Amino acid sequence: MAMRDLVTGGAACAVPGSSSSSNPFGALANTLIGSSSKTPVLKEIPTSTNTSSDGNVYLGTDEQLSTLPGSEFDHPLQPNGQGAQFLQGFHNADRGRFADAWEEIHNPQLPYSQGRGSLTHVPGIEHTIRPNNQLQPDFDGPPQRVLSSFLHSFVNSNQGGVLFHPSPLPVLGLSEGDKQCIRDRSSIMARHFFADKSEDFINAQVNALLSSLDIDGDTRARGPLPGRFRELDDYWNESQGMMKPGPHTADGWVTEYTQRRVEHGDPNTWAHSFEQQHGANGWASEFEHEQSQLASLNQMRGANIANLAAMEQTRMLAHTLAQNNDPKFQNSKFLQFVSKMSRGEIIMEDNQVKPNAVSAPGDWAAEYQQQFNGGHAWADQFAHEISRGPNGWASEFAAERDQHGSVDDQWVNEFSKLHVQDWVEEFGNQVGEGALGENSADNWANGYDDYLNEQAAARQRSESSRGVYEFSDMNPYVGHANPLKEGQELFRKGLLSEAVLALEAEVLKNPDNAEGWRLLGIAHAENDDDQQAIAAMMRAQEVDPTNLEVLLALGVSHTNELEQAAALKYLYSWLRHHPKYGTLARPEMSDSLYYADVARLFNEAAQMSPDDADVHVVLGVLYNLSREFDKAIASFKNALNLKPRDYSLWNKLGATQANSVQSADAIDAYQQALDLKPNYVRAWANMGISYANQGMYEESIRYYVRALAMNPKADNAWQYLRISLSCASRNDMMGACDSRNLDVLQKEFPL
Amino acid sequence: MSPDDNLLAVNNRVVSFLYPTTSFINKFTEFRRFQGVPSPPPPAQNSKYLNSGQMASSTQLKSDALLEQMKLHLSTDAGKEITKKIGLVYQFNIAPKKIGFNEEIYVVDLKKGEVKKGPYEGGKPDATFSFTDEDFFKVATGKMNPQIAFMRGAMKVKGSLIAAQKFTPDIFPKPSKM
Repeated sequence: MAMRDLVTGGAACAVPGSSSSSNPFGALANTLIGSSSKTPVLKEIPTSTNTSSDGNVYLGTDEQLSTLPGSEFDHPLQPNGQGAQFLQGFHNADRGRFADAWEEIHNPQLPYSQGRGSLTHVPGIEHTIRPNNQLQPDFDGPPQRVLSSFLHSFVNSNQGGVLFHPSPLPVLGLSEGDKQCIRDRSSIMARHFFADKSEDFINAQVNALLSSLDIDGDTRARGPLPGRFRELDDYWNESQGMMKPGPHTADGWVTEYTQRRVEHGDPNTWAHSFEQQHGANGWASEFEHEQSQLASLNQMRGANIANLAAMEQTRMLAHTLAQNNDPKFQNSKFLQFVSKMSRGEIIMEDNQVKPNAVSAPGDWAAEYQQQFNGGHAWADQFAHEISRGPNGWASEFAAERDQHGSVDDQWVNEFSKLHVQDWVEEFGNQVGEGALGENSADNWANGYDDYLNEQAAARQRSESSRGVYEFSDMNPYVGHANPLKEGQELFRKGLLSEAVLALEAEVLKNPDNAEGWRLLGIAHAENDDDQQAIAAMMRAQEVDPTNLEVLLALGVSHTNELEQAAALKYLYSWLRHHPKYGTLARPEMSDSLYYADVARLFNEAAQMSPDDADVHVVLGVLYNLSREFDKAIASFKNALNLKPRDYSLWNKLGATQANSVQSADAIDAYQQALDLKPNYVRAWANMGISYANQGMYEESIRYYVRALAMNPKADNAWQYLRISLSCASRNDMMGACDSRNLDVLQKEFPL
Repeated sequence: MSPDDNLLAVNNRVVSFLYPTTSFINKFTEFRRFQGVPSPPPPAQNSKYLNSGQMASSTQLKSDALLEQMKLHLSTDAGKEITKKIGLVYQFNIAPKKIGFNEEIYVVDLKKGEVKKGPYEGGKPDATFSFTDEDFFKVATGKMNPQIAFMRGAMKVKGSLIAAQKFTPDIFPKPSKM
């Protein structure tokens, strides 16, 4: 049977398809009931279906059928707990719309079948709906657990071929949507679990499950009209067709809206209603408004910055990507985004203002990506929306939904309560087996893949754009009278992140100030951000190509990044431009550098003046490059004899020892560095690395957290923290790590 | 459902239990296809530098540095823990720019606790990974998740998938920074 049939057949799976089509009584009954008013129906219809008789009904016993088979159709109306609850929804709704809702239920139309179709996206739904859960604190309540274990017992019943026994369950508060979902899924899955069993057995199993859950057999898809399936099938295809070609598929965000909106019968409702709220070009104008704000900000940054905009943007993209290590996280990125947005975290976390040039028109995915990275712009707009009305966007949204009838609301809300991980996993298995093959699952997966590819491509771009300095947004030091002096002062006090801001203000004001760029680079290096350090140092070098400190810093940073050729180049330049040792260098060498030659020259230099600490430092770095760690350690120790209060030297010694697996010694060296400079983020992070490399993960976590508390932008430390958390089996803190919640982490891991 | 389908179904169940993403499963099918594909051409160049101060200026791989550190790391107590925990042999084919071209081959033997250059000589490695230098560096330092790398095609896997799943950033020592 084609998988699509399984899906669109929905509950038909619970019943041999032939029986319903050969069921004129059902058709008649349904027609009668469907067109009559609700009150008589409630009175006339039997209230519950016995499991075994249900099975018989669908095995085609005419006698049973004559007892009014249409009854299944009206189970939503059962005046028992569930039915009453369901009806309550209608009563609560505006009376005037009741008839419409009623109509919709009994005459499933295009939107309905799409709604059903989207139900089959269970993994997708699970993710996209989840944001709603956060609005519902009771989401994880006992009913879910009950349901979960119940479903497990159902799944397990396939072992041994024992009949699954229906058991009384507490009221689970399942909505129509839940029920429908369970009904469809269980029918399909039962076909797989019990592949070796007879159809009767399967039906009995499914019916047992459904009756236990107080779910009636499907009313709609099992409909009385012959040809109904075909009809649904067409609708399904149509809806799939609608979803496929658009730019949506690449993007979970759009998919979500499509899936939700689709229930209202018009995928564009959302867009329409937005237009109604904001005028035809509301979105665009909001966007432009943001743009102009950004542009003006941009002008503050200095003329030469504008052309870096695009590259900064892509770097930011990579930055975002780098945080997404977990496939689960990747999958639920939208959810994270939304939840962050709703908490306002994105503003704080992603505070790089980027001039988001509007991408190709209609390219929603890219635009969303930009917004995601821009974060700011999006969040601003969101905040704007919130401040607009007392209840904010959410309630606007909700209100708008209300207008479309409470049925839909209920469906989404109730469904989101049904967050049953196991269920989804089982479904995942089915998808793996190809149960949903070509339709929903592939769509979803392909979309996700496209999305990944896009990101990967963007990432590649960002790699080529490395070395571009990325300015902070909202710099309070812009406009300061003497930001360089301020920056130097802050740097001396050890307030590295503040110093970075002041120095950025300085280089914005005087882009040709080599000292500003240099100190900025040093501050970044001490703040454990080598990418920014390299970028700043390269600007410093442009302005002043022979500055020895800059050349050494570049050599060190490239060594840290394991970029050996670049490191060697800068270290050699250091020698060549040194007033004393420059004569040692031969100009013809710079074309093709060989490590051994460079090392020999530095050894000569060290012999020339053994009291020059700098030569020993460069030698130490060089030996790090060639991983001759013993020699490197000796060189740094020589330098430290000459300059015992140089904290960065202690850190260099420690890092060298750590890389040559002398972690215990390294920790002593780092401690020396920290005694001299308590805010030395790099040394804190290195401490964490040393503990982690010794297998002391709990300790390492504390040091990483300390480093991050001082500089939340130290990406390496975040990544390492994540690894240590996983090694220490502290998965409970993974969420805090992924959302970069330092408050929680600091409380949990005090140093 | 043919017996072969059944096998696939079982495997998929395992995979999606660990990584409940549909696209991973998709890629897993690709993975199976990939297994059938003949291996990429053998490396054109072999080990030619380093370890004792001999360093070429241009073609140095970042992965060299990492794996050298790994070599040292495996001799420590923490390293021995890893050996004990994993107990598998991984082979890494690391290409400077493009997977399959000019690959350097490393064997990280987490049975014996060794890192060696050149193809594995003790039979078949439990899993063989192909990376570009940059991507290997990213995965080993936790900048990129192995599953994501796999899904992006940045990491190719041959051999046992179970063995491949034990390949995590955890097993690599982290480079400290000067």
